[in-house]
Amino acid sequence: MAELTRRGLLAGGVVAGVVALTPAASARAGETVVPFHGPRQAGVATEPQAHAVFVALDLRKGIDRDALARMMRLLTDDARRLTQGRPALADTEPELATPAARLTVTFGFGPGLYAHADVKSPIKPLPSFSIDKLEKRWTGGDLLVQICADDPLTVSHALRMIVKDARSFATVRWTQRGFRRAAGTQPGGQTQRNVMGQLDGTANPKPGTPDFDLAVWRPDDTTQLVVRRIRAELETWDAADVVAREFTIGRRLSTGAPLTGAREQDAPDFAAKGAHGFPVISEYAHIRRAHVGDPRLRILRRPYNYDEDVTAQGHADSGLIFASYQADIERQFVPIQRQLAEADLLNEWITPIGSAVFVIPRGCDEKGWIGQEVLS
Amino acid sequence: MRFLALLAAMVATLVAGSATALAHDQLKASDPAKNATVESLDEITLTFSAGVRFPAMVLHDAAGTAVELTRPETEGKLLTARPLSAPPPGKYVIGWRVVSSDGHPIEGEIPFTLAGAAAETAATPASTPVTRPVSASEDDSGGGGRLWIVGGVIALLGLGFFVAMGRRKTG
Repeated sequence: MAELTRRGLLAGGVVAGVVALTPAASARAGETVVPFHGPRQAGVATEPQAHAVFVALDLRKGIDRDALARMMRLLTDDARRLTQGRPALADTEPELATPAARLTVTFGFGPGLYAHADVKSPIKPLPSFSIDKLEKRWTGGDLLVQICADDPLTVSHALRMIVKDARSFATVRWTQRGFRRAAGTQPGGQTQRNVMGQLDGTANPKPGTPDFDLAVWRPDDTTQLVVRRIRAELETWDAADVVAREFTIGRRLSTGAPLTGAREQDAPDFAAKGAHGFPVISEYAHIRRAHVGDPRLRILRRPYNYDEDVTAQGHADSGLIFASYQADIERQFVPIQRQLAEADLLNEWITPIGSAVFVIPRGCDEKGWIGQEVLS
Repeated sequence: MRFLALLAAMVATLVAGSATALAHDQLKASDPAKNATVESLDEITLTFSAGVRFPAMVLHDAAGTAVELTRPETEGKLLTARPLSAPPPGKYVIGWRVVSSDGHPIEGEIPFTLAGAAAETAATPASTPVTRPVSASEDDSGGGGRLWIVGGVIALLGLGFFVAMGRRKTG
């Protein structure tokens, strides 16, 4: 019988990993290309890629509608090439354009961009919530570029090309890098865990369904994005036991099943009562507070984890880049966030430290550019 | 030997962890006290070992019919609620649930008997001296978690023993 040692277990793990990642499978993952052209921008209904960077830019003084149009022509051209695995014009590292690894580049217009363009903004910054501890360095922004791919080097290259071309028009306000499980480590469509261990996004509308379209898209094929940086207070969360954590969320940590169900996708029974007559899913549990019945009022959560430098004391700086897409921020996101700010057990362990809102303009065809209908 | 040292460290961490997990707040006393007979019921007051949050309280009679209460309020370690109208004499149960300062929910029941006439209750001023609070028991829903940790420690010890034996044989 083989001796049970740590080294042996590690070696076994490596072998299993190599076997699972056959060359054919890895090549497929890298070469997949997400179409850029279409009535709606990619990167919203797209199955979330493993890596993301959100970069918010502030327009320089004097950038008017004509200058914005020039900038968006340029950036659209970069995006349409890079997402298809082709180098950008004057790409300084053209060899990095492949693999595209499902690269998507999604543009968002903040209220400030509309001001520069002298156009009335369809959105305004979120109202302040009692739980917010917003830091200026993670808040606001005139132009957002969301860059996602299954390969971090692809993301890195796209970010560099886009920002280089935007530099003469805008300065960088903030950059937020996020990640999910690496591509191929779990079946597609599976709910992801966040850094607190919770399955995150179970109640999301499913792409390709009428409910999804109702929640996310407007008749003009635009949508609206909220990006919030939410710090996880992992030191105190670590001190909470499993009962406390599951009571807080209203779901089992292991399976993601509601406390009243057996499987992740079981509908929570908010009326179910326990031994002493109290609801099994607490009045203050996160899933009750965030629950929305009406499909038109739901939101699409497309979050990424972040994990920055560990402090000298060994404390983590990690949390969630919460990104939600909805047809109308005021109608859908704000009421949910109000409910959560008012009373949510989870607030004890999370702190919103950044917040920004953007309109995601409609997509474009081969001859068009993103933002054309706003800026020309 | 290195493995055994690692195992010992893991057990130590687990034990330290379980010590934290067991430090949930507790119900220290209640008015009415558990199984007490009281003359009137103007107010229900629960006293906890530390400040608790997100309170819920229900009051029901022997038949299970709920008596409407004001919204329970916390002030430091105290949790109070009042019946909206004076309930008639009889047997009652207070059900309560709060969130402990470490995030762990605790809940329990306090059965008591209300003697005397309902009319008197309504007339009694709130400052009437009440029975001295008596320690009340509580149901801690964390029992399962505690068992789990104990089980984990036992399993780890067993694994360590197995590994140590295996090493002795091969070495």
